[in-house]
Amino acid sequence: MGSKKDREKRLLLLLSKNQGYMTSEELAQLLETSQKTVYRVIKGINDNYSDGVLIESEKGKGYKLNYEKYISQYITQSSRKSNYSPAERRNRIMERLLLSSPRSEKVYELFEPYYVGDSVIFNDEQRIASKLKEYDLTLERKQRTLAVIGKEANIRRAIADLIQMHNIIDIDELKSNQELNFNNYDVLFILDQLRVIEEQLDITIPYPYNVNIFSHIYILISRSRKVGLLKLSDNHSISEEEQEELQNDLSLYRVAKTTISNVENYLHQELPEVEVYYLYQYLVSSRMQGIVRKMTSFSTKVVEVTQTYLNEMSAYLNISINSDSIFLDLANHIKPMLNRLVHNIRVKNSLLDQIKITYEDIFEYVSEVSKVISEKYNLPVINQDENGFITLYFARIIETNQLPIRTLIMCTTGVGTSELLKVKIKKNFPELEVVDVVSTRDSKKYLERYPEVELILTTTHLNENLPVKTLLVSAMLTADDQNRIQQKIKEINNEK
Amino acid sequence: MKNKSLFNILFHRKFDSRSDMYHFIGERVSHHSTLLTSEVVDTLLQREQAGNIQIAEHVLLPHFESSKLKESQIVVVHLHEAISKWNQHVSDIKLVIFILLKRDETLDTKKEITNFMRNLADQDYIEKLLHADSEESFTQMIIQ
Repeated sequence: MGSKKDREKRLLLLLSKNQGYMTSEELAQLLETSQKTVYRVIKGINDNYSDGVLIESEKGKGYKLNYEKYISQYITQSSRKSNYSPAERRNRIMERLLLSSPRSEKVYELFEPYYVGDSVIFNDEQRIASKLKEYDLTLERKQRTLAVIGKEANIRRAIADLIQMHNIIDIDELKSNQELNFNNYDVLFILDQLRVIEEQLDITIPYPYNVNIFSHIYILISRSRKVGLLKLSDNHSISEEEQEELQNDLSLYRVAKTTISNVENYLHQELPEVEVYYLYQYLVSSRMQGIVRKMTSFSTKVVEVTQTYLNEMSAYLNISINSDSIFLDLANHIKPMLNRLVHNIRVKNSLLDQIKITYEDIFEYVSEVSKVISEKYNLPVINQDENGFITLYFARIIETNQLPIRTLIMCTTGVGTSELLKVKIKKNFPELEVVDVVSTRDSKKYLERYPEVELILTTTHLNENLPVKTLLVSAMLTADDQNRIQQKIKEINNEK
Repeated sequence: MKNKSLFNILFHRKFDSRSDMYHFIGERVSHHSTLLTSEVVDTLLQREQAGNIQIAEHVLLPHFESSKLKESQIVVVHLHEAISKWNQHVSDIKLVIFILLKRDETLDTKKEITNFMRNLADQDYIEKLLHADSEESFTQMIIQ
């Protein structure tokens, strides 16, 4: 984090989220950097932009994104192919080494396409080695060759994190995506396997789990083609413990077995027995839609963890969450999540940056609750990607159950048109909570009595300037009145 | 059962215009209060300027509150013929409901008025009032 590219991305996200101007000071604070850096990043973005400026500035106001340009740029940018950045170069080399591990590759051949000198190569080696260390893998250098040494499971984990799959949201896009450099036959074969899995289980596997399973099978195919997995020393058969686990869900076990045997046929190569177990792990770690019979059969742990999230978050957010459908929805996410944690399966969250910026507070709360849950239930650390997913559940709860807006209704008498209006408002605007119906004469007094009031609807023009949003409507509550109320509600919710 | 004295029902009355009607109400009120006819008319006109008093098609709800009223009243006027032009914005009025509220009225009376108001939020009820064909049924709809 903190690289130049990353900062540019985050700055653009911040500006795109904000419709008005933002000052360099605000931006610096949000990006946790200096104002000087903000100037530099903005200049960098604008200099690189061919058609005028992307970020507009105005004296005294600050900076604003030209949204139209930003959107159209986004579309063209993603099709850029050549000119790898140093980070991209290292990733591609690392991917190649991982795929052919434990076989060694000649240094010259690895770096040749990038036209770089010895000092760069030396530097890249250092960085790749330290990155691999995060996965308990070592980079071995022998007579101008490089090789990655370590456990198969770790190698796969590293490849999965590396492949830029997390930009793919629509799985069918894989068929035509040029950038990933995938073998097109493999892609079609795997997509077909996914379809078969869904058909056999009579479910759909939603994003991002489908992409995750895709990349698992893709890596399996690539690895076995490159090195022949049966030859590897740490390939092994299914242990008793694993066998027991496979019995937990026989239909998934069956599907895993069929799929692996299909892959064997496709590769004309036998695969280690344990591959069935690996794939099974991915399947139990995925959310599947359409399994009605399983909806109510959550383990105590799933129920407890889900309930903890709901309780803690409802306290944090100061809202009451007690709907069964919300519980079911979240529990259906938590169940595979716990499997992912135990099996060390990471699902990339392509929206993470956006989630962190858009739902900053919720994300922070969720992360804290996750920490508590990890400790209490003795689980591995719940990473940011997972916290991002959970954040979306609560963001949705808030958006759909936004607290009602406390509203006063006024007219000259407090019993005439206002009372009539109250009935109509209650019927048409459930998001408004009518606190009281009062007379305009005493408006100030009532505002003191109800300091939490956010909106005043009045049927007569108010002469006084009140510190709350007010709206003049007719007791008829015409379509025009309703539209204007709707707009006020939006305004108020946006400010919350 | 509603408090009958609160309601004043005038069925099939003929008024030519807004000022005709306001003047009539003003006079009526002046008999039971220290308000002058012109004061009542002015207050009603002012209320109209402050905000639309129409509550449904063909129906108006002029209302005001005053400490000079001796008692609160709801005057419901069913017009024999519609007033085609009430003011610049409002036309074709067939039913006018006056709410004349005594300042610091008791909670009970206020509740009674409120209940009646709630009925008026119901379009079906309004339709029934508009189409009432006898004084008896009209009164019954309001009092009971």
